[in-house]
Amino acid sequence: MLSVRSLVKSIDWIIVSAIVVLMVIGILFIYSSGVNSEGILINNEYVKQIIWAVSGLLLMLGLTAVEPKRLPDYTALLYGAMMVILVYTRLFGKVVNGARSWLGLFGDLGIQPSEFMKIAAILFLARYLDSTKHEPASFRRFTVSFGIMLLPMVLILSQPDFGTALVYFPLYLGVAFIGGITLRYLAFLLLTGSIAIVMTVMPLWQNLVATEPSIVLRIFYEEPYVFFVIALAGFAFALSVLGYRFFKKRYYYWLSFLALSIILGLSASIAGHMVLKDYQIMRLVVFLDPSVDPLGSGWNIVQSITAIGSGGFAGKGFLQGTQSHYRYLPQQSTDFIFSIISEELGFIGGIIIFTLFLVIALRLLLSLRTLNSAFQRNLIAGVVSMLLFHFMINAGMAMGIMPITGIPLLFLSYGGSSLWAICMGIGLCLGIGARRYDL
Amino acid sequence: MEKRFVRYYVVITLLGLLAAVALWNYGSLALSAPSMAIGANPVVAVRGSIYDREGRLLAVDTDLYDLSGWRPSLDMRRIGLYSELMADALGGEPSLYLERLMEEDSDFFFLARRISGEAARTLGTALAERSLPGLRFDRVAGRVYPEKDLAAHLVGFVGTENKGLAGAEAAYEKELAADPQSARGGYAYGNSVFLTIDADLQFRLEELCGEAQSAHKAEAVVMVAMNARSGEVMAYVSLPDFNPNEFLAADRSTWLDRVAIYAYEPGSVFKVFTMGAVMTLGGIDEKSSFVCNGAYERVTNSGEQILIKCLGNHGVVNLSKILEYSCNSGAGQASDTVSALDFYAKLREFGFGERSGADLSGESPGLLRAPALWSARSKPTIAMGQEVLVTAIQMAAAATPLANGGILLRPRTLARIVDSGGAPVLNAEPIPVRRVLDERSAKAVLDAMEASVLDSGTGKRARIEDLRMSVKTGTAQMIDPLTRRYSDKDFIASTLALFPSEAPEYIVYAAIIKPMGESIYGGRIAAPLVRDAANIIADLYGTARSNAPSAIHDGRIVLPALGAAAIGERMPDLRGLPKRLLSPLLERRDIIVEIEGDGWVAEQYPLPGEPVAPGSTVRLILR
Repeated sequence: MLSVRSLVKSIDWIIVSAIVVLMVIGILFIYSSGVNSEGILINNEYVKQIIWAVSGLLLMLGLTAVEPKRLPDYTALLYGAMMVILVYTRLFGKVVNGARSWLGLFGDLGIQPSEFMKIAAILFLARYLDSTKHEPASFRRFTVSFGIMLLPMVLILSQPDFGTALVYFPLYLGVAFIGGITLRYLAFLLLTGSIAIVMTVMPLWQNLVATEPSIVLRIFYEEPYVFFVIALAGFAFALSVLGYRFFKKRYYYWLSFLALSIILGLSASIAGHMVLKDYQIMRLVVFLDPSVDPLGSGWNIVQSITAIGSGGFAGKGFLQGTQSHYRYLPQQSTDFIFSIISEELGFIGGIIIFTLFLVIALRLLLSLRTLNSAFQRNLIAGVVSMLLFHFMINAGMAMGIMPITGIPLLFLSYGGSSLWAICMGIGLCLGIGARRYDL
Repeated sequence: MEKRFVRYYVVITLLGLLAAVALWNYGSLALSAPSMAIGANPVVAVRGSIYDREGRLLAVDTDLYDLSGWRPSLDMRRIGLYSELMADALGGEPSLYLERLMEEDSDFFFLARRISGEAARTLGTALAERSLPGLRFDRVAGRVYPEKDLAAHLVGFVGTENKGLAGAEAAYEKELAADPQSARGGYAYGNSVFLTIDADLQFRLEELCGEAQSAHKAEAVVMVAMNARSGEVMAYVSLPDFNPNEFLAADRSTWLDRVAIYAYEPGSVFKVFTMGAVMTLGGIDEKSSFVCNGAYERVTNSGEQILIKCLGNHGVVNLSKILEYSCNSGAGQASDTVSALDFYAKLREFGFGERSGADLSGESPGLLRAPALWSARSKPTIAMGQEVLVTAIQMAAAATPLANGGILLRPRTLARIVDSGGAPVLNAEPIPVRRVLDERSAKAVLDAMEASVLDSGTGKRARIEDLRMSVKTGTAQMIDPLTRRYSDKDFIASTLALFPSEAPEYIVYAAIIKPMGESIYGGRIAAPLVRDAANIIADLYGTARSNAPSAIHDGRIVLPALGAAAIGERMPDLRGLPKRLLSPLLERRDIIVEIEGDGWVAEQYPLPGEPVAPGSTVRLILR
C-alpha cells in the first residue's frame, strides 16, 4: 500500500499535464463553437464542460488510489452491473439523436452507459485473458473473450448507436493482441469484419461512387446470387473440414478458415442491409467521394475539409473562424471540434493536438514493458486502444479520410460520459504505472 | 529482442505508422492552397437550349452571376484595386464600389446582382491574375422561357436544380443536362433540342383555341396539328396553360398536359377508325349497307337485349352515310361483321391502348380493354367511340394511315439534337410503324369523311369552300365521377380533319372539354375551330386551294428582297439591316465605313438624315 505522498510522487505527471492541456483547449473551443457570427454566445455548453472536466480530473486522480492488485476481484461484478444498466437503458432510456442511449439521472442531466461500459468491458476482458493465459491457443479462449465484447456491442447496436458499438471492435483487437490471443484468430476476426463492412457498403459504393461499377462484384451482395455464393462457400467449408479431418493437410485448414470467414462476413453484410438504413450506410461510404451527396451526407465532410483547409498554417485566430461561427459545421462542439480547432489555430494547433495524444499513448505503451501482471498490461492496452481509435476515427472523419460515425474526440469534445469514462480508464492506468516497482 | 515483447514493438511500430499517415494527410489538407478545398472551383453546367423547328428559342439557361464579397477573406490593404477592377469590368465609378466594400456591415454582402457571364469572367480573370481573394461569383441558376406560355406543356419546365421535371425538359433530360465530367475550362454544356413544332403556328392556334375556350366556356381545349406525311407534330395546344417561368405560381391543374396525358372517351370521331378497321378486315366494302331504324338492336345468344339509340332514323346507310350522319346503328352493325378479337387487334394496330412514343414525358397509354373483359355491349359501344380511352396525340397519330395509304406513322415532337458546337447529334426521320389499313380502305374512309362536310353532314361547319377537307366530328358524354354514370351536362366536343382530301398533308385534331356555352356538339363548336385552324395552316404553308388563285402557288413564299444598303448625300436609316446587306458599303472609296459586331444594325453614326460628306467616317454598331 502506497502512501499518498509517494503516490503523488510516482504518478506520471506528464500524462496528467497533457490531459489538462487537452481539456483546456477543448473548453476554449467548445466556447468558440457556441459563439455565433454576431459574436453572441448562444449556449453555455462550455460551462458544463468545465464542470465535467474538473470532476473528471478529480475522478482520474482519485482512481489512482485504487490498488491494482485488488482490481481483478471486482471486474466480473462491474461488468455484470454495467450490463444490467445497459439492458435497462435499452428498454427505458431516453432517446437522444435517434438512439435510446441515455439514462436520465435528474433534470436534464444524464449519462451514456455505453461509454462507461467500454471501461468495464476492458477490465473484465483483461481479467479473463489473464486467468486463461496458460492456454493461449485455445479456440474457447478466443470465443469467450470475443463474446465478452460482443455482448455489449450488440446491445449498443440495437439502441441503435452504430459509432459507439464500432469502438468495441478495436478495443477487443487491442486487448486480445497484447493478451496473447493466437494471431490467426485475430486475423480471422479482422478478415470477417472487413468482408462484412465492405460488402455492406458495396451496393451504395457501386451505385454512387464507383465510376465503373463492376458486374462481378454484384454476385456478392445482390439477392439471390449472394445466397448461392454463401451456399458455395458452405460447401467448400464442409469439404475442407472433412479433408482436414482425414488428411490433416495444412491447406485444408486455411481453406476452411477462408470459407468460414466468407460465410460469416457475407451473412453479416446481409444482416447489415436489413438492419441499417440507406442513409446510415451512406455515411460510411460518402467520405470516399463527398461530392456524390454534397448537401446530404457529404455536407459535413465538405464543410469540415473547408474548415481545415481555410485554417492554413497559423489559423484564423481564436473566435475568428467562419465555418464554425456561421454554423456551416454541424455537431461542431462534439463530432467536429477538431475542424474548429484546425480552422482557428491552423496546422500548428493540429500538430499540438497530435503531439499531446501521441505523448499520452506512447508513455502508456512504454510502461507496458515494465509490468509483470498480464491483467495490468491488458488493461493499459485496452485504454490506449480506446484513446487511439477515438482519435483516429474522429480526426480522420474531420479530414475526410474516415467514415462519419459520430464518435467523440476524447478530452476535447463536449460531453460528460465519454470524458468521465476515459478519465476513469487513464486514472486506473496511472495507478498501475505509479506502483510498477511496488512489489 | 525478447520474444515476449514482440507484440509491444509491433504495436509501437503501428502507432508510429499511423501517426505518420495521419500527419501527412492533415498537413496536406491544412497547408494546401485554399482553392484546393472541395467545392471551391465548381464546374459551371450550362443546360442545353430548346428551340422550335425554325430555331426560335423556347428555353435557355441564363448566363448571369451574382457577385458577392466575403469580408474576412478580403485583402484590405489593396481594397482600392478591387474597386478599380470592378469598375473596369462592370462599368461605373470605382468610388461606388469602394463605398460598398468599406461600408457593408455584415461579413457577407452582395456587390452586384445578375451581371453578365462575360463581365463575370473578365473580372474573375483580373482578380485571379492579381491574386485578390474574397470575391465570389455565383451563377444564377435559372432557366428562361422567352416565349412564356407558348407550348408550355410540350416544352415543360425545370426544378430548382435545373433538372427537367416536365415536357421536353424531362423527356430529354439526358441530352439537355450538361455532364460536369466533360467540362472544358470550367464550363460544361448540354446538347440543344429542336422540337418539331412551329412557334408561329403554335402561337396562332393557341390564340384560336383560347378564343374558343372562352366563347364556349370550356374547361379545356386541346388541339394537335400534325404533318400527315411525316408524323411531325406542328402545334401542340393544351389549354389552360401556364407560364413555365413561374410554373410554381400557376394553378397545378394547368400543368396537366391534355394532349398526351389526359385520356378520355373520344365519341363518334372514333367511328373513322372503326370503319377503316372493319373494312380492312373484310367485314364490309364501300357498297355494304345497313338499315338504321333509330337504334342499334341485337339479341345475344343468352337472350340479352342490347339497344343503343341512334341520333336519328337514317334509313339505309353505307360507309359514306354512316360517317356523314355519324350513324350509331350503322357503325354498331358494321362492327358485328367482324369478330371481337380481330376488331380489338386492329384497333391496337392503330395505336390505341399504348403510348404513341412521341418522345413525351409521362404519356398516357389510354385504355382499350382486352376482349376477354368485354361485355356483350362492348364491341358496338367501342365502335361508336365509348368504352375506350384515348389521348389527343393518339387520335391524331391514328389518322396518319388515312393519309398514307394505310401506313401508321409514329407521332414525333423531336426534330433534331445538336451539341453545344452546333454539330448534329441526332436527326429524327419519319418512323413508319406498320401497315394498319389496306390502301383501298384508307382511301374509302377518307372519301367518306369528305362527305361529312356536305350540307347534310355533321361536319358541314368545317367546310372551307376552296379547300377539300375530310372531317369527322364527335360529341362524347363524360362519366360523372360522383354518380359513375354518363353525365348529362359534361361533354367533349371534338373534330378530326385531314386536308387537302386529294392527298392529305395535314391532320388537325381538336377537342373542347366540358363546354358550357350555347352548344356542346362537336359538329357545332369543334368543327368551326378546326376549320379556322385549317385556314391558318393553309395560309401559312401555302396549301393548294382548289378555286382560289393561290391554288397555283407553288407553296414557296418569296419575300421581297431587302435592298442592299446604300448611302447617298444624307445618311439613311440603316437600323435593323442585317450585316450581309452592308457589304456594298465597304467598297465605297469616298467614305470610311466601320462595322462593329455581328447581327443587325443597332446604332449608327451619323444619325438618319444627317449629311454624309466625302471622306467622313460612318460607324455602324451591330448586335
